[in-house]
Amino acid sequence: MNDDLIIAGKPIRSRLITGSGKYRDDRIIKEVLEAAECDIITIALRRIDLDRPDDSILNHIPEGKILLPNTSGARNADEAVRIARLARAAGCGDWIKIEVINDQKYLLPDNQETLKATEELVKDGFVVLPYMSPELATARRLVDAGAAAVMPFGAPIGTNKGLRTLDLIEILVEEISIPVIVDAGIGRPSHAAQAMELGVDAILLNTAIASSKDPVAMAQAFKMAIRAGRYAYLAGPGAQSHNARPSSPMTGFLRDE
Amino acid sequence: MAQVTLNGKKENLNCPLLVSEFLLSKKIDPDRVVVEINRAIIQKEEYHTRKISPGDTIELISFVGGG
Repeated sequence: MNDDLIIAGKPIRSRLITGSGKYRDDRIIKEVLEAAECDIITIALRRIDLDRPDDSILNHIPEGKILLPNTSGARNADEAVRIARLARAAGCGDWIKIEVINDQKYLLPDNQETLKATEELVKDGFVVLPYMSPELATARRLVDAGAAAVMPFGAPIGTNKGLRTLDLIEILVEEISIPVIVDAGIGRPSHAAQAMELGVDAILLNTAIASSKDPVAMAQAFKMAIRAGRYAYLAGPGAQSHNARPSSPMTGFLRDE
Repeated sequence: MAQVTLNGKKENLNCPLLVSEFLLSKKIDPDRVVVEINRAIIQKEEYHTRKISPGDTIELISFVGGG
């Protein structure tokens, strides 16, 4: 069964998008990516370490992956646009994850500035995937602006708390025509499976794998959970009911009435 | 010697200096860096012609792990 995720016209086989941050040792990233079988990996831009100029995360990412630079560090739309253009100049393509944050305690996205940055970068030819607070009006505006996906958070970045915004994400899945990717907060494979069962198109996570005791095994666990959740969504789960509904016939019992 | 601002810190360089020479002196692979001078991105094909001038603000940017 071909069940590719389509982003900006490009078929993507894996519905797991992984980050490349916070690993105890970056050399494990290749193995994690193999275990996760993911096609898209996020990276960030920073000033080069002049004491270790050869130290690039790209050394640890195999050829053929779609690089999704983020605009982390941007506090407003202008800064996000600048970072996006720098990323493109670095030669890793037109895909960009917009991240505009001006709240350092909870790292919650600024939806208004995110929308502004999306409008600007779409006009500039980027494939824009904005990280956002799950809010329907903004999501609709992002669609109108030409975003390639919307990426609502499940919980604040790095918390591993899971789908705290479940009801709002469900609304986005129902109402938004472009891919909905849960980005941030997912901490366990069960969280990812639950999101996929609801019809979310993909999961973007970093901390859940990087902070686990065995990141390679955890990457595999997430891969399986996301596939399971996706298959369950496509299979169409049965309705829930308040009262019990017997699985065995309620006639022909081996007893006298 | 001329003073420039490099990644937020003051630094003295022997100007005039081409961007390509500057990267070589810092042992930086031109394919693994983005160079911004005075907020303008310098395209890679300009590294052999673009000179660094006194007072320039230079940013050298590369990719790191991120989510």
